[in-house]
Amino acid sequence: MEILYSWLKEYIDLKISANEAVEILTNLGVESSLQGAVPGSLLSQLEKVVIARIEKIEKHPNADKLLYCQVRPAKTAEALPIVCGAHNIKEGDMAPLALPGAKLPEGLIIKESIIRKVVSKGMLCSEKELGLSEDYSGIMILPQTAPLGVELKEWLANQDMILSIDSSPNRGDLLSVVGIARELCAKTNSKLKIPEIKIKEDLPSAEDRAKVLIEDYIGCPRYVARIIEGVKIAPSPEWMRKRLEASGIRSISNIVDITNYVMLELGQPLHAFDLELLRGKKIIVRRASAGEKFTTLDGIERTLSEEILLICDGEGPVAVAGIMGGADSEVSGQTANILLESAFFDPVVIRKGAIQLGMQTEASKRFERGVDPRFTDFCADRAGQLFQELAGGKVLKGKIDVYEKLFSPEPIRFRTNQVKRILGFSIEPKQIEQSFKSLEMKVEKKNGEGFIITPPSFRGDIKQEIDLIEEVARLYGYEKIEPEMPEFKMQALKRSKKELLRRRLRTVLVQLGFSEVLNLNFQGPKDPSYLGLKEDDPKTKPVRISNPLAENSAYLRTSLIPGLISNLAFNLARQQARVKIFELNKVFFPSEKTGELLNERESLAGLLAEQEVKSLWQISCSEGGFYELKRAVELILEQLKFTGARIEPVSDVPYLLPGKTAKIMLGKDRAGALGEVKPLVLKNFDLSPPVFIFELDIELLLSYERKAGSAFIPSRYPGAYRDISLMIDEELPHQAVIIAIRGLHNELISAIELFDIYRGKKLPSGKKSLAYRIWYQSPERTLTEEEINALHAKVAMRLKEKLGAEIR
Amino acid sequence: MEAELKEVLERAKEEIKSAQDLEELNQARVRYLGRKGFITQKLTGIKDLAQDQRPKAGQLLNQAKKTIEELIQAKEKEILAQQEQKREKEKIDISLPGFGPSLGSKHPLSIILEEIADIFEGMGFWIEEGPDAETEYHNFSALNFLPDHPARDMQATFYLENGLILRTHTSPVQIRAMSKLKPPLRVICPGRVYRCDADVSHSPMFHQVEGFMVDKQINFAHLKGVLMEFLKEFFGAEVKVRFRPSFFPFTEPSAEVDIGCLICGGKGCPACKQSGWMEVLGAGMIHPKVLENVGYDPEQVSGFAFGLGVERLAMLRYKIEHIRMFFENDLRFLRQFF
Repeated sequence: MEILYSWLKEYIDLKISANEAVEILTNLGVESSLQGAVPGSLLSQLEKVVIARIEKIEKHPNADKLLYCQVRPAKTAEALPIVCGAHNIKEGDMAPLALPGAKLPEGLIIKESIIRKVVSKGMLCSEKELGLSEDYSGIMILPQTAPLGVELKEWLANQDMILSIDSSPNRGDLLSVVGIARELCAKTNSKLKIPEIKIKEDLPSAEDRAKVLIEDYIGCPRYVARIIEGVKIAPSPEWMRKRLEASGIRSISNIVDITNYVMLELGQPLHAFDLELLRGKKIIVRRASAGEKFTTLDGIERTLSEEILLICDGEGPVAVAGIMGGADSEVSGQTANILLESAFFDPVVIRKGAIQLGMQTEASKRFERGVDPRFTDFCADRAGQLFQELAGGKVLKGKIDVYEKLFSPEPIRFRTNQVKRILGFSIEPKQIEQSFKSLEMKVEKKNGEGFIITPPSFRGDIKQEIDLIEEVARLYGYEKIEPEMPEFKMQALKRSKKELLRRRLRTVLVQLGFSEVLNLNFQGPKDPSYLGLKEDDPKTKPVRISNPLAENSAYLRTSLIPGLISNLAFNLARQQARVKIFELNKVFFPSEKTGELLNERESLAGLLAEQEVKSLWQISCSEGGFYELKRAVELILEQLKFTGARIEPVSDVPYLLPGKTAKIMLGKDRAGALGEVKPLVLKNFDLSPPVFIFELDIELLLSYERKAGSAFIPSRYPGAYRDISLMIDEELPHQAVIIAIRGLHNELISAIELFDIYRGKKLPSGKKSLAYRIWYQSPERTLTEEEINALHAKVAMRLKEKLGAEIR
Repeated sequence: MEAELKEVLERAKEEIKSAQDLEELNQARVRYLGRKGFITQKLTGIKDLAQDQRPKAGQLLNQAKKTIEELIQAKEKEILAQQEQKREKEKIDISLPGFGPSLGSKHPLSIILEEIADIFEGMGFWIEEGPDAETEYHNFSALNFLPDHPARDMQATFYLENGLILRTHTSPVQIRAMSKLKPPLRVICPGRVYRCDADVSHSPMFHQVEGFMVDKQINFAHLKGVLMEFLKEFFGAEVKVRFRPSFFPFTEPSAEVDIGCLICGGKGCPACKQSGWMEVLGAGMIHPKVLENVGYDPEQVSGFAFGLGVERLAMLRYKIEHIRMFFENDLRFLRQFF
């Protein structure tokens, strides 16, 4: 809500600046700021900038984009020639003119100059050039009322400021000028100045002219109507229009403006009906029947449900209660007699209605948050007074005031010792009492314990003791509460296994050169098919969001891979030659049964891609990428002590090339896969191969027992190696060699290192040559040459037998 | 023998003196002091001498051995000094780039999340986690959000087709943890949260850390103490902190916590909208209704809770203006964090 600060000042008996008011309100929890307030430090910089009138605008004779203006800097002065580049000005405009000698806050020094052979004796300024805002779209146009020749800083200093209030949804009472004034008064112990009502009432009495019938007291506990006859529709006075406009409300006519003005002033939304258009001179408050139709003021025909509360006349609906009136009973230029509605509508009923109809109005906003149920009649009087003063109306005697039972706030027990218990500071009961009183609460002492407090009717948010405790803290001032550290019994606490694993994984991957990415948890409908997933794959059945922001983010993601591939595309488009990224996050699958939580699985995925670049260290990516990722996976498994893990060939991952895919096995469980992405999958993302990825199911890793084992103690005796080169069938994997050698179960073989692979013309077709260095070492003694040679011969024999290897 | 020894000593002196490098010096050492060296041989030969000649011979030989050792040591120092002098004249271009494997990078939000956890763990808090897809009960009702109350507008909600919602804050983990455990509790709950508002300054998904403490006699001063401790640790001891009243359905009294603007130092600038303050977190005393909802007696225990916006803290820490930087995953941006 925005209000003019000068308006607010009328209700407080207090000399405080707008800035002080903002500070007090902020410390009371009413978020507020000032618009149009120019700091004094800035004002002092605006020397030699005056309010000037643009008398004449011509084209610059020598430049198409420039204007040549005559600008009068003071009432009695000659107009000055000014060259100007902005085109938002017109003749007669008032604008700030920087005269020669001015030094603007942005650093610009103004002097008489010649621009394209034409003399310019100053500069018309934009708000940015004056340091007032970031707006440099054009010259700052001042209102016509701005005084010609006066220094701009003088005028700015006297401008009224707009106080902008962002109140919390529980404080409906703060959506009015009086509500804000009340808060200021409570904190400063000053007196609130509520407007005094003076009305001259005339016969007949209002009750003789119209009837009000409430059929639904739940939706409408109270309805007050006043009748004003013989009003003259006219524009409202300047001061009222200014105040409404500052609050963002368009001035319409004196009648409509008065209802809006009182709403802003007192917080009570009002509605003026043209009495002559109310059929049967009757108001009936009832719920709509299902499917009932009604055309609101904005010209839209709306279909209603039974939840909607209606204001009807003798024949049908004339307004949606608390939200918007109808076109048929609207006040018009011809209106003379008015029925003014001031009612209390139930917050929940109004909110449901507003949501159903998709309408948020100034009225509904206030009703939803709760207006003062005891203020209804006063607000009707206030409007009546203004109708009389500003529209020349005759206010009929009395009010129609319909209710079952007037609302009275429940008294609340308040125990003084709760202040210390909840807030942590001690305060004199006297001071507590004073706080409550300044908030217009009724205070009764209760012996020994504290008080019985009855909150005012406008504070619907105060329902229980804790609400009162908060009020004590608010008025005392949060800033005055001394911070204190709590004491507690110590406990041995270790991070959860999951968090520890996450941290280890991140550390290992960062050490291996991977950059961590974070993608949103959404995916589009095409993501699963982009990966070439088969229909029975659970990843093709993502959970859908009912109200997505866009179709391509309408599902919860079932895989981290599309995100990583998109990240790759993004980075390749930014000339990143080598992309090595990972993400550690949740993927989501539907729950087994309805009503249950989703199956949320933490997952890890990495991606490696390298464009053709020539550099010192380059490895051929078409081969190397796979093994680089494999190394990462091995290190993860090794470092995290997943000792039984195996990496085995597999060909069933739909988005990976079957001959270049491996699965990661933990015992009997498949924990993930790694391999090269199929070119057709990459094509869906407009990418080309090679791209390698790996995936690991973190939940599975967590479920798997990790064995710390005992530490390896290196031998104190020297080891020795023998190299062996063997020719085997191309089909046989390296792993077969390892298995064969390990099959000897000889503990003296301490390491087997592959150091060369050769394929070529020198070998028969279908054969390859592998060269290994085999280390022999004993933990107990130095091995003799003879021993080593014998053992190495055994290894060679074994390879011949098991693999048909030819030793070269 | 004495004469022989003298002659040998002269020869040794000459050889040591003329040694060009450590290798030659070592050869000399082997020749005289090695296992088969002259002095060693002679020393082993003592036992063949007549009894009365032995002490004298031993003395002479040991004397000679010592002299040679000293000469070698001196020469070694000399050679090393010469070598050093030579090396000292060598020069490389130390401005050439270093090489070797590169480190990757941790996402800045991960870094901030870990740091937040580290600070609170240091104060005795532990981590509890909850699901991203929550029930309305845990996300709203149990947290004292009344149905059809405008407070629900504060958190625009994504609904899932199975009746769950995407949690709009990490506060539901408070409900889960309190329902599962008994006080005393000191818990933080990091996680992803979702709001269905789309504009430049908001992401539909972001990160929060919820924290709370429940025990006998926990009060608002403790809330201030713990949060100020955190903010000082995170932003530095000189950070200015302001608590001001606010409203959340699940805390009362509620507070919004600001820190002095890190850009202008409190004088007022566009970044802090001229106020000199920047909002960093929301907090308050856990509402008695919330305590009742998890089966605690609000007359017996009390607690505070707070919620930190991780992106917000990261933006302040790294002076980043746009939240989108965190989810674009531009490697040129990411690689600076580890």
